[in-house]
Amino acid sequence: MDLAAQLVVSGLLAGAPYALAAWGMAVALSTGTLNLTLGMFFTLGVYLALEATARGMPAFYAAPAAALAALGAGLCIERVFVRRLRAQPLAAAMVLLALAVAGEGVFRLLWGTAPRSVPLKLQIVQIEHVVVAGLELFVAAGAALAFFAIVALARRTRTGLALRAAAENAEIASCSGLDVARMHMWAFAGSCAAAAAAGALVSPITPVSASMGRGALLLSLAAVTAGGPGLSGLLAASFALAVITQSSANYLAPQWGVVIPVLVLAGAAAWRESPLWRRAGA
Amino acid sequence: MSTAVGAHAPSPPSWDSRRPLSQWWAVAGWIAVPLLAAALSRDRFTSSTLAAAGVQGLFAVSWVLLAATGQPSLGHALPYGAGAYAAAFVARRGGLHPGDLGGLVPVVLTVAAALAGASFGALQGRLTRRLSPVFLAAVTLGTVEAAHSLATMWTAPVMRGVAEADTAIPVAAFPNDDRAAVWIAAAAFGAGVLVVAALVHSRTGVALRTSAGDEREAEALGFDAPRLRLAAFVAAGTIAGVAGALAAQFTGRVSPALFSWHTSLFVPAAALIGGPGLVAGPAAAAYGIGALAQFFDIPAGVQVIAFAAVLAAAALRDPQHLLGPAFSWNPRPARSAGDPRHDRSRSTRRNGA
Repeated sequence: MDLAAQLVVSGLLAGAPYALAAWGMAVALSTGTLNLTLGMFFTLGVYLALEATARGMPAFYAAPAAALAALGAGLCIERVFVRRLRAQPLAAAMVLLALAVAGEGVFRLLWGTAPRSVPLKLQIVQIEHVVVAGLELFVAAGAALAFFAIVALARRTRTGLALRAAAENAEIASCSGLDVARMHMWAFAGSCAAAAAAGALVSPITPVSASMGRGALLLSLAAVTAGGPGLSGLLAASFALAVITQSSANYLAPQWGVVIPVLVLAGAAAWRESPLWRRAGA
Repeated sequence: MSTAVGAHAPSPPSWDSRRPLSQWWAVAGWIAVPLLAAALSRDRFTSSTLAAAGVQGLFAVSWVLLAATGQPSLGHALPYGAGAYAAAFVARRGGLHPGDLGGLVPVVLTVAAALAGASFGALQGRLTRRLSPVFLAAVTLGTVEAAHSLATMWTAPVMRGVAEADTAIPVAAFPNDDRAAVWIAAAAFGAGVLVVAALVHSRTGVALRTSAGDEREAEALGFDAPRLRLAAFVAAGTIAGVAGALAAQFTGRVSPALFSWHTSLFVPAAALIGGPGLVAGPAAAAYGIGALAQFFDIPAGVQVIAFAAVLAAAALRDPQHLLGPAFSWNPRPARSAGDPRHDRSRSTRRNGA
């Protein structure tokens, strides 16, 4: 029982950055783009955190830098590739997949193929029988902070309103004078930035490898598919997936951490088509 | 020009039906090339290279059935790897060696692999039956990633001198003679090309191609489109499973690399190079790529980037017809504006209408 409670708490804390990445996927999908580079940007965030720690800084300091770098790269990718393929979702997805594969190759070239870890030691907090590493609390707090900042931006500013209008109905938004293409570009770049920040935040509690972004990509896709278009559903699905993944990795084998999200993704997709998917797959 | 299989239209495009005989000549030619190469190969290295190329060609030609039905699977490595692992599983659990059962062990293993390939193909088909092409590609890629993770859980005594040594499973190699292997691979390749070409040009093929388009149009013509798309997955999985079994027996091992992105992206890349609306084209491209990769010992990491580049180039070059019959590296024929056969937005089967 104690172990179960421990796994639930750890899963919930570790799930926060993944929820951030899943939000990034949902934002890209709402504008009609399946952002398959999300895993690549997640890995970029992790490696930037690794570099930050190598220079004596805490890994979390890398999160804003990673988000900015990903924002810039995302803007370029959207402008060069995604915009011209916006009417062809399959072609856009193929190009983004190709970029993701190339990115993985670059990571292998720069940081090698051996798995690494980001060092970050913090105190341990014990609440009853549940032990929480300060590290996990920092990860969750950092992700929550980033999440609230994004939600505030989306709900409390005119830019956020414009972004939501462009995502909801591009034609009507365009008629009302909004530059929809620009909004889509920022949405895509924001999606990349969220993934990179999530990667930087999660880096201290996960083994680092060039292909680790695939797991984050699958988890995001599964959360978006299972959680539906709403923010609450997305958050619930992300945390539930994190807890299930953590538990299955503990009780069964670490490999199930990849298998479970795929099962959820495929099962949810077979059960009902998400409105977000419908928007991006038309 | 090779045999064409329209991905969107019930009837083949006009550029495709001008010289039907020449298309069959292309098929015949690409069946003859591996056989001729097998006859000319003299040393072990050439033989093993050609055998690997034949298997890759067989694997690639199975994907044509999916392209013909408008299902751009990026997870075709699943039935391929499942076939290889099924052969390994049956051989190891049954303690079978090539000489057992009156020498029929390779046949038994290949049948087991075909069944496994068909089953996993059916699974992919069921899971993706309501999805648009873009999400079908994403989900099938996810299934391969999951299979890769599961495959790493089956370990055996470490195989020295091979990649992924800690997770590679040894399989009794068949045949012992490399010259025999190249003949078997060439025959399997030829049979695969012939079967797929005959299938897509039969009445079933017309039905398969119809299922790629509007579901209501297919129903009006009397075709059960969902069932046909599932059938395409099963048939493609069966052929891929056979290819996997041959790969396992030729190399004497299976490993999680069979489920890699490298294997997954190889097939659509070969199809895009050879022309996704064709039969002999993708098979020929896969045969050529397989032979070159083996001959020059190109690392999988380099290959996968090259395959991804091909996908990107194809998507940028002709985004509207990524899997359509009009794409090839040759200059494409002019299309009339508003041709309903190419209007994917009219498809209703995947948008829940």
